[in-house]
Amino acid sequence: MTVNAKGMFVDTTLCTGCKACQVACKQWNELPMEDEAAVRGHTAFTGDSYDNTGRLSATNWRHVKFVEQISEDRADARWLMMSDSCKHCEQAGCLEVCPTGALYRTQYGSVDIHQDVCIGCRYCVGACPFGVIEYNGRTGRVNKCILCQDRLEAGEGTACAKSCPTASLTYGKVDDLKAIAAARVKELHAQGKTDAYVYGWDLGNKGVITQGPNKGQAVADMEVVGGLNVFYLLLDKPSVYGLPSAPQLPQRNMAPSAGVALISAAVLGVTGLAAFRRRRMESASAARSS
Amino acid sequence: MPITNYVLEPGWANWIVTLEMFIAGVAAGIFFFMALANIAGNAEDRDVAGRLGFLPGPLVVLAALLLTLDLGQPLRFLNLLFTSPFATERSGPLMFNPNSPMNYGTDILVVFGLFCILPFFDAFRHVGRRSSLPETVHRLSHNGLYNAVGGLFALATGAYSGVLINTTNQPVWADTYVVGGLYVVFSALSGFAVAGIVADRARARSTAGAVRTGLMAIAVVAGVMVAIFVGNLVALGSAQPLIGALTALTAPIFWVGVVGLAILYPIVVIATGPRLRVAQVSASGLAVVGTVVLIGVLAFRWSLLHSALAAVAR
Ligand code: SF4
Ligand code: SF4
Ligand code: SF4
Repeated sequence: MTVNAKGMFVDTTLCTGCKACQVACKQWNELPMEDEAAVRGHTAFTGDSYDNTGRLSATNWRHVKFVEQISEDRADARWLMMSDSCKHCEQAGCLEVCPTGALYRTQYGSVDIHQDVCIGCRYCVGACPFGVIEYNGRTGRVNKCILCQDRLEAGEGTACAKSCPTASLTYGKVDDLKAIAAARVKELHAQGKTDAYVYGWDLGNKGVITQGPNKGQAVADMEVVGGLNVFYLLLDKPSVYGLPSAPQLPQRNMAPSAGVALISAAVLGVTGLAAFRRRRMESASAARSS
Repeated sequence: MPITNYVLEPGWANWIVTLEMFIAGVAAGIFFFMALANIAGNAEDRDVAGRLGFLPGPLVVLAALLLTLDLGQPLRFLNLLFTSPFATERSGPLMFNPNSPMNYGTDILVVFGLFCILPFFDAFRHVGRRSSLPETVHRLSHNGLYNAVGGLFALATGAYSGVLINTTNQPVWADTYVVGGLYVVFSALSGFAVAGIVADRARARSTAGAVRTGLMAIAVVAGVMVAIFVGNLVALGSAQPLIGALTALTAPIFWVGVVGLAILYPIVVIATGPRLRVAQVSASGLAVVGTVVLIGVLAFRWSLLHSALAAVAR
């Protein structure tokens, strides 16, 4: 893990869905409104929920998810809200495959983009297991949350965390944030909210979901892709929040795929040579018989 | 485990990328055929290989142009080869990320492009144009070692974009390990298809015999690879976008184009045609087979690239 990494702890139990973080991010980073023409096929507003942007994108670096869990008889209902962004993964799929060095690890352990270097190849887009980084049709390059690199260099915290009125987003040293998260999970478990667990780091918590369609199922802290510098306290399965339960690094396939290609190439070489050899033998026998 | 659908589609499923991969694959396949003909062929094969020399170089240039067109700004391409002065975390003048098949691919494409230069100039001699180029050009472009090494780079060029899309988190593309293998086999198939057309035009009956045998054998290898690929996807439960979504274009193009035109058509036509004796080869038939196979290989590129798009439901 990066020494003294900075990040954010996202306590979803405290989120009220006010979207102050979304607005702060837009404002600080001067992000324009989503443009359907520039960003393929995405509508500017969903219109079907309080969730107005639907997902993260090149111009929505933070997104407040609204998960509405209402039972069929409407007797049991809860809203899960989660303020989402780039996770600044310790092993970042986007950074791992970037062929130009545009994506890089900052001194704070976050993952930033040199816009001058990015060539818009979109390899990182297909490699991020969380669907975070996106191609920006306006600039021909990619964009995502950069953990407010400019603010961090000026000794400030992130704009989104600063604007959060409920402390659902807390900025700080990842080691300190882990201690805060561990204490918060214990506090919730003591209150009977045994659903609480940490997504991003394994701090040793285990629990059982108490509400919703997955009621009764076991949950436990999970460390993914070497740890997430922006990590979450969740109350339900990761998939409920649109998070993968086992995100993987893209390069896991590279050596096996190259190996299969090598074997295929060898088979082709033998097959091709055999085709010429067979023809030569047929020519010889044709010449003999004539 | 299949890829979970939380990823974004990178926007590679478009005609520019499809054509770029198709053209680079055809160039690689042609060179592969030329290498075999120069190493194991007779004088007629070497002459057909010489005529084919016109194609790989310009096709590689065309593929590179399509790549830069897709990126939007031509000079950006250089950041793949040389370390940008703004990429301050990277050291050394050459850009290379060992985890990125795109870096391997760019370097391989450049070296392969260099190997295509000599055969391009030598090709003038084979079509009867007087060439003022030294005899060394002719000798080298038919040299066994030159062709063996160039052939290896051709195969690597054919494989790399498959390894590249395998090395992502996209559904279908990254669900198996065989896409690189598939790509190189279809690249070779397209090379033999073009060789068939050229042998036909040149009335090279003996070469046509070798092309027929090779084309059929490679189509069988392609069929086995596709069966492994699809079987793997079915076992993982992620085959639907490629083979089952019949109302979308991807699955029909896969069945008709890839399975039908690229694999079954050459096998059936060549197997049921006249017995493979050199004197009985119908040269004109091979041009048709070659053209149909090329359409099938284009369908392969298209359906593979679009299979991930069909699977990413956003
Ligand atoms: S969440 Fe995606 S974009 Fe962010 S660092 Fe991880 S892999 Fe990269
Ligand atoms: S789009 Fe830009 S940041 Fe992403 S992999 Fe390509 S060069 Fe790197
Ligand atoms: S850390 Fe900064 S860039 Fe990232 S979501 Fe928050 S405000 Fe936006």
